[in-house]
Amino acid sequence: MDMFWKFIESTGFAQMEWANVLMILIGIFFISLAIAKDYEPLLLVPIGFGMVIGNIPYPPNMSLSVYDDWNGPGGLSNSSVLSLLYFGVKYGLYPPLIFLGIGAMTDFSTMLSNPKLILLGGAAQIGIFATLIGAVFLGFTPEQAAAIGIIGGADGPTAIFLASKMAPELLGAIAVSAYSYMALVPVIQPPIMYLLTTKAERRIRMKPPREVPKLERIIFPIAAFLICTLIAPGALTLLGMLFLGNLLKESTVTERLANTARNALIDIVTILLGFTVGASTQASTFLTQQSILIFGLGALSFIIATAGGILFAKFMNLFLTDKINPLIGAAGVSAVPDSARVVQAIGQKEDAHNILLMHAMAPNVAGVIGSAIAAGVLWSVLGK
Amino acid sequence: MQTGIENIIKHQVIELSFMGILIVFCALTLISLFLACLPKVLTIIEPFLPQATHGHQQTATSSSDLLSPNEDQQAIVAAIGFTLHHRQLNKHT
Repeated sequence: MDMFWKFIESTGFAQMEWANVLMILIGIFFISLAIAKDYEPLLLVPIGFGMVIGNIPYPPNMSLSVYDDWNGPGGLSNSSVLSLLYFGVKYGLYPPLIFLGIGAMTDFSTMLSNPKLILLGGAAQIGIFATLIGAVFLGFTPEQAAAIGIIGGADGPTAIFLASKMAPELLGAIAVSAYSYMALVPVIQPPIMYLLTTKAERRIRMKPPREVPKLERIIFPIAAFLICTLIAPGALTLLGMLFLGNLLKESTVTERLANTARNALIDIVTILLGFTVGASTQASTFLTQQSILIFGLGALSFIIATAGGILFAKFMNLFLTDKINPLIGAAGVSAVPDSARVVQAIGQKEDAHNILLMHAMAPNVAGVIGSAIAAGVLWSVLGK
Repeated sequence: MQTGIENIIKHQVIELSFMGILIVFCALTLISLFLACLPKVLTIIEPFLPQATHGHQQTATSSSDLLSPNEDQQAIVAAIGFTLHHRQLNKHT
């Protein structure tokens, strides 16, 4: 009978706390959002299910969570399987691999055909630096504030990469926050877009992009890599992988490698990353005052980034003869391609025949480069 | 946790933010300028660039790639054309 009671005490039911229940419900909510609303399902399903797994209580003598790693008693032999999978998050291994896949699937030709739109990707990074100030104001260290600010770049892999280097203690909260806001792009961005633009501005039609020759598309990843990393060497890993992926695609002689990078590899890494990030949100480490502040600052960062892009597009219009539709400034946050899709949807509501998607992709991919440079700068200056 | 304006001044984050956004803009502006100049530069240097050669440098393709649907259709059309042409020739001879 003692054995039976011992077993009962070891079950999840016996050890469950209200905080675990809350986190499991949040996980299920994420899965529901992904399935019912189609919000970033590739991310929210693994993260949501990871949250459910990470919040099942277990006996203390077992190694099951992502935190039961090789640094604990027993070393590597006593580390959990989840902790080994979490290695890629903890040491920033997965984000560069995701960037490789993104590079291999991204067509930079709209950006190449209209280079001035790149600046919109820079303007949206204002969210990162404004939030950095806000986070330090609220009492975070500059390193933690930098990692929190990157959420505004709407670039999950970059946020994880920087958090793993500068604020590993906040990694779970930052990662979940970044991916949640990326998934909520269709909810967060439209009100800001309507607020900052007039009906006439939303109806602006832009010239169709020119066809970009193959040679330009091949030269771009090499030249852009050199420019970016000579200025901000901290971005070397992320941008190196991004531009390598793009070179694999554009060179056309490595189609097999490009195919693997943009399909199998990125899918595998996305599953591992999403799942382990979700599993790292154990109630005991996740439900803290700091996490709530991080979520608040993340939202602020995202809103400022969106507004920054739109306002900068309006500023550019003061000097341009061929006007830019300011909606595409919102795509400067690097949630690829969701923010570009939102721009297209809002633009088409005003003018059904106005195709903004291809134009919005330019600031969108420039935003990826911009947020990686911002992360590199912050890491170079604040990294120890 | 130390909070407030003093914390911002102590850690010089306003300077850091200003410098950070400036560097991001600087890098993206350089890329933008480079891309704006690239087509003109390429027009000048293109005659001197080596022509792409294909052959052993091509990557191995999977069996499904060997005959794409488009090529498949072209092959069928060619076969039909050849058969019709052959019949026409037979009629006349």
